[in-house]
Amino acid sequence: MKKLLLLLLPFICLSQDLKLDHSYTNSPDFQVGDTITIKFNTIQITENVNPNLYVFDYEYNNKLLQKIEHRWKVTDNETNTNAQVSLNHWDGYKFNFSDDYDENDLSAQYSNAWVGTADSYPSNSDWSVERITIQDGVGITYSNTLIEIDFKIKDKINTDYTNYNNVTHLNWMRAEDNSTSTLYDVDAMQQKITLSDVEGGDAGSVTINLKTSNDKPTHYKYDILQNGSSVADGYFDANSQAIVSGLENDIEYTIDIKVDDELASDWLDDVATVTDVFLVFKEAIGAGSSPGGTTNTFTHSIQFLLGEVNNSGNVDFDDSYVLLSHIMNENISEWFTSSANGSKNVWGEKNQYGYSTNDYYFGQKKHFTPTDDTKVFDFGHGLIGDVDFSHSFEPIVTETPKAQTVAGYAEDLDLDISTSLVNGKVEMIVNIEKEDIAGMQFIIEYDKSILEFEEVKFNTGNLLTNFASERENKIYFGSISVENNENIKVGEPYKIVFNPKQTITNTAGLVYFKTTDAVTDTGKKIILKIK
Amino acid sequence: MKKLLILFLFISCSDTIYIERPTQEVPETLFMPQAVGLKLESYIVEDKVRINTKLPRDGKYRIKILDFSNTIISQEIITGKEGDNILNIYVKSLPVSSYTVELYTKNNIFVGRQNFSMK
Repeated sequence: MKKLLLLLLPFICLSQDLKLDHSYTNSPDFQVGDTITIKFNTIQITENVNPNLYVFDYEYNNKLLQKIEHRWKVTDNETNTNAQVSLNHWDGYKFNFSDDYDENDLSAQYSNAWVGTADSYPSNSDWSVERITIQDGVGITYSNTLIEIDFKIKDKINTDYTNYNNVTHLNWMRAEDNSTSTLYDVDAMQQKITLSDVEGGDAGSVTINLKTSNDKPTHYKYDILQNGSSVADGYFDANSQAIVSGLENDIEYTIDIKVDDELASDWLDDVATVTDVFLVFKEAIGAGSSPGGTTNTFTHSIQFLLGEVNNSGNVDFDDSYVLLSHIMNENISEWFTSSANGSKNVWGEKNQYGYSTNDYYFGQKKHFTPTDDTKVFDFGHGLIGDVDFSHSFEPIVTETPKAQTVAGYAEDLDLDISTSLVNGKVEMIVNIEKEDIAGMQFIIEYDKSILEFEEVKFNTGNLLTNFASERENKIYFGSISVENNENIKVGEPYKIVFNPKQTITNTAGLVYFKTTDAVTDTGKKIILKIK
Repeated sequence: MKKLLILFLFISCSDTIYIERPTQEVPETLFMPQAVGLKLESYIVEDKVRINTKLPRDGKYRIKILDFSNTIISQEIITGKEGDNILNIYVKSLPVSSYTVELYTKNNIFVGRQNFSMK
């Protein structure tokens, strides 16, 4: 048996066709703040293997490295001057390697851990992922650098990391001869990069962590003030962090955290949606968990601040009317977050945020004092109009143990939405089978250069309030049942019709689903998942 | 010769009507040796990309576009014919990113998958 294994070993080793390598080009030792360059290249193992398509993912630890820029090098070699290249970037994800295959076996990780795997990239705020795609009409040459990427080494002082081990990983690779659809086996030469003996670091760095459920932390800016004068300002990074230097120990500072309305113009109208309308309405009528009840719908006191959208001082029916008008594209109040009004910001130190005291109105404690021992501060951020915390930090539940979080109430619902070409028109149909949905809202985007919006056809029921509006290349539509007990009809409640401006063969990609939101008649938020 | 005559006689007497399917010309870049599946003309895309959906039989099929987190962001139901069907994926309105295209039957039985990146 041993002999047989020894005999098979060379064949097993020969199963790989090429290797993907990545390595830094600089000479150690490194200092915090240094720029390092990481280059990627392939190495030929088997003769006559000439892939002309490379797609691979790598990831880097964004707490320890900050990407600066990248430079394509593959088009510099004489053979691949016409190669097409693409680099895509995502923050906050880390690859879930298959345990059944070696991490070095990049083609096996591609086939078994990424292709068709729903949880291939779970959220992880410490990591960023980049996808590199190179295709050419001829084979992509080996040994030449494909791409160089520059990173700045960050200080690990305010992280959970004690060293710079494994700061990058090669995740998977697809290498293919596209003319014959032949996939090749790829192994990693160096799958992880470790930076040894990184020295230095500013012990005076202060880290501000932004706490928000919004996935656009780079749209938030901070301003740190001492005695009313600004001493440091800037934007949060993709990890929701700001690393601030130049502050002094034992000095109390005040921080302002606000959304940059210009950067956020694309999503400010998505903050207040149909769930917010429904929750404010239920709170206003004192419905609680059932329409006939008299208990609170809100589960956190800060929702009374976020739901007070007409500056009257309390949450009542008028507030739900303001929010309902907003989703129907009518702006009748300037006191809540929208693209017309800009952001209306609420923030406070994480453990205080949301809980009123004599010192802090709704827990908006905006002070912090760096010391030798404490250099990391967390601040929760909310937006007026966002009572379901879709774009806001939900307070830490310590004040009312029996309170259930809004997120805790949420449930998933499969939804069938599709487009088709029908008699020369593009129709998008929403199909639902759940019977207790009292509110539903969709935001879709479409290719305005090819399609012209015609109408939304509603078949939701007789007593519901339906709405549809077109803003730029987006359609906002949906329904809400606020004054009666009728729910949205099951079946096909919505049909959206477009007219093509030019001849099209089909509709794939012409319309895409941007935001979906729904709420049941008991106020439970529904997370819609398109199947 | 005798065999040919018998064959001719058989065809002449048969009631079966043979309908010739219009065949769609398949560009070399979209040729697929497999019996069924999905192929993209390019894996780096700007405005739109041609695709070949090679189907096992006539019927309705789903073309799904999934984002990086494998969430469906666009879905079309097409009526396809057996064999090669040259269609388009229009990407101009999509945020610049990398996407997966999946082909399913109307009842969500998997047929094929490819991915592309936008410039």
